[in-house]
Amino acid sequence: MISPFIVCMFVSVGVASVSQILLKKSAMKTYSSVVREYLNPFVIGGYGLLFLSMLLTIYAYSGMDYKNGPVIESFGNVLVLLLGCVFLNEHISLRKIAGIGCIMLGMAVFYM
Amino acid sequence: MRTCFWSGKRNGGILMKAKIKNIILLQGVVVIYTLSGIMSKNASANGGNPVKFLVFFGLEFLLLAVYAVLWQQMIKRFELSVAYANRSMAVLWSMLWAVLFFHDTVTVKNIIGVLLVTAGTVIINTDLKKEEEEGAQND
Repeated sequence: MISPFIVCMFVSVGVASVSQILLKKSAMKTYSSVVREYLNPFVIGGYGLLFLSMLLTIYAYSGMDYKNGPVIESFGNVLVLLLGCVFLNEHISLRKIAGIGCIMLGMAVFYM
Repeated sequence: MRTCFWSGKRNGGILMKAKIKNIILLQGVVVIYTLSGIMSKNASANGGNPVKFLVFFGLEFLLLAVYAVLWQQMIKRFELSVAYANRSMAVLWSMLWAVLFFHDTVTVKNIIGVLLVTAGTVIINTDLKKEEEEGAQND
């Protein structure tokens, strides 16, 4: 059976990935002032989700080894790639897939 | 408008230079992010000294705030998937700080891991299609 702490870590990665989409959505807009550029629903929502992700990560680490954390977190690259394609119309190229595969393998080797 | 061979080549060179400049800036932002980890480690090591703890905790918060502001500027210049993949290079910078500031030992697995992450990041950064337009527009 899969550990609930590992599931929690994956949820945390998912929440962090969604937060990045919100931040990018905000970055794609033009604002009348610097204050509005940072104090808008997308940025506030994005950093709110990052805070939630941080809490979920802390809870997840209470029941799993540290070495597994960064490896699971590197899965965020895949999620951001997929979410970016769906919500931001970013293209998924073979180079991106190969690069992210290489990064995930590197993270696994580094921490295992 | 017709584009001649030379002007096309020159534009490609300018775009490449802009791209390299943006990647260096992005890595600078990643370095700031990893420096916050040093402050976090120092804060946890000074749990018994409230003044030192607050100084390091404050510096960590400050670095994360600076990182957040700069990250928002960086994702204007890159596709999100590319910028996010570049954050993985934090593993290289953190390893460097670990050796320099905390005299941690580095294993062969650590080095192979960092080389693979670096290779992956280079592969993604050299995917110039579409990305170059976005980067140049926001440069």
